[in-house]
This record gives sequence, C-alpha cells and structure tokens, in this order.
Amino acid sequence: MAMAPVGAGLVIDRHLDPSEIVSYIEYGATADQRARLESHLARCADCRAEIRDAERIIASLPLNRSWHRRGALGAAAVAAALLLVAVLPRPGRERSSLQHREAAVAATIAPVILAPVHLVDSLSAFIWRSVPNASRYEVRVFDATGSVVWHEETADTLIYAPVVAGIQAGRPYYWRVQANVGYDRHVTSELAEFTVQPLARP
Amino acid sequence: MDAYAFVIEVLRADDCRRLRAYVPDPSVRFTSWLVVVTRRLVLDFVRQRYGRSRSANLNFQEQHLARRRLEDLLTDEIDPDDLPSSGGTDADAVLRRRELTRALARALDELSSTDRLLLALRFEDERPIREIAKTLGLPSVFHVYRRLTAVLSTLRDVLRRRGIDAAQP
Repeated sequence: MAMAPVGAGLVIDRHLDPSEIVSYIEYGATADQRARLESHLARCADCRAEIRDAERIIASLPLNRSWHRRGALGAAAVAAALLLVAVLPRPGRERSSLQHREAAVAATIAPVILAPVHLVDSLSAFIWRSVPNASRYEVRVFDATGSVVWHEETADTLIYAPVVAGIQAGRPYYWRVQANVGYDRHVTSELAEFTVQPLARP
Repeated sequence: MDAYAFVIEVLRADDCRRLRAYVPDPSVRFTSWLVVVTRRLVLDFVRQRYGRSRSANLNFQEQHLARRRLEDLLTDEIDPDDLPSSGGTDADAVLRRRELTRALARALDELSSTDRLLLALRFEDERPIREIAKTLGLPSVFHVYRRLTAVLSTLRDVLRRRGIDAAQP
C-alpha cells in the first residue's frame, strides 16, 4: 500500500508524505486514515497549504489522455510549468507590458441573496451566491428607516453577523450585497427583507 | 526555465530514484503524486535562489489572530459576566481572556478531526467555502455552512456551560 498505515490512536507528528497528500485529496484513504490525516492537518498550516496548492494544480491539469502517454517526465513538465506560474516571484514587470484596460464586462450577474430572508429563527450569517470575477463583496444592513446599521466587506460569500450590529428581534431589516467586479465596477443584489423571530415567552 | 531544468534534473538523478519512490496504488494516482513531488522541488528551487520566506513568525501571528477571531465570534453571544471572575480588578479582562483561551483550547480538542480541520480552514487559512467543501468532501457549500454553524453552536454551548457552571456556588 502506498500510504504508510497509521495504526489506531497514532498521532501523525511529521509532515505528510506525497502519497498521504494525494490519498487525502482524492479520497483514497480509509475513514480511520482520513481522520488521522485531518487531525494532523488541523494543526499543520504547511500541510494544509500543500493540500490547497495540490488541489488547485490537479484541478487545472489537462484531461487529455495524450499527456499520460507522454510519460512521467511529460507530466512533470506540465506540473512544473503550472507551478512556476504560481510560485516564482516576479521581481519587476515592465510598465509597457501592463494592460491598462481590462477586458470589457459585457454582462454581470448580480449577487443572489440566500439567507437571511423573511422570518428567521436566528441570525448567524449573511449568505449569497458568488459572482464571476468578483474580488470583494460589501454587505449593508438597513433598518426600516433606511439607515445603515451595519456594513462589512469580505472576499467570501458568507459573513457572520456580530451582536454589535444591534439587530433586534421582531423588527424588519433590509440588506443587500454589492460585488466588486473590476476597477470602479460594482453589481448589487436586490434588497432583501428579514426579521428575526422574537423568542417565545415561557 | 531554470526551475523546470532543476526539477527534471532532480527527478532523473540516481537513475530516477525519486520517481521510483512512487508505489503503485489505486488510491494514489501517479499524476497527482507527481504534482506534489514537483511542487516541493519547485519550492526548493525558489528557496535556494531567493531564500526562505520569513513566514514562520508570520504564520504564528496569523494563527494567533485567527484564534482571537474565533474567540470573539464565539463570545459575542456569551455575557462576559458569566465567566468566572477573580475579583473586581482591572486585570479581570486579561484573566477572562486567558480563561477563555484555555477553555476554547479544551473545547476544540473535544471536536472531531474533521470539525477541527473545518475551523482551521475557515478561520486560519480563510479558504473560500467552496474550496472547503471540496477539501472535506462535502457535497455542497450549504453543507459547509450548516456544519460550521453547528460546530460554532457546540463550542458556544461548551464555553457557556463551563463558564456558568464554574460560577455557580
């Protein structure tokens, strides 16, 4: 077996080897092995970074079978080329080679709000669908008068609602998310309404 | 091109010793295994040429900040007055923070390995939810959201129980 067996109760206190990395990424490990790998990954940022990089590179490899027929060194060439683009630092790029105008965005899909919407039991997070080419999202929450009660930015499609936002149960609020899709280009979702249901009195 | 040549040279060294280290296994595709090996070689090349990045201390700081973000998120709904108090001094805040950190560390140890990894990916690495779903093998981003919500709720309950229980006579 390529991956060294890890017995019951053993903690992996070394970095993962390539076979273990691949076995985890491609779900080839048994449940026990996966649990031990995850236990190590939860503590080791370096191995998590390796998992992240390997997942992204493997996902970008061409699926054409001719790459496999070209043999091991051919596959290494592809992997090395992709890694060089991702890893090597670029000390300086001539200004003349920079493109000052990005490709025109003909049409952009607005973010679609997922939650919270209408009456909700509790408020934990604001969630929306991602927008192609969006680098940042800004969430704004308004009260019934239209005043902004809270706003925050994130690169993710989820943002947790802190208690300090002052959102009270039983009152309607409105929120929307604006996606940054380029220099001075934004696209905004529809306004959504939500109310946190008051706790039932005993 | 230098890095490419470096990788090829190392892989061919000693009669392709590194390539021969691959043990055929259905659960470990050779192409994927080679990606991981090549990545490590490219990083070796970059470090030899440009030096090792001084990220160790930065990683520690980022992990510390991530842990603080998690603590803040969990204690938003917990009244600090419910935590054990050592007396009415201005050092209470520092003491409570330390107690919270210790309690959180104990609570995290009680989570499953998958849930601990989920928190690390979300709060330390700040990975996008869709990537977390892929890494953990969850069917969709909604499964990640639900699991995160459940884990955070569990941690809050544990912290609240420990904080409140300790304050009871």
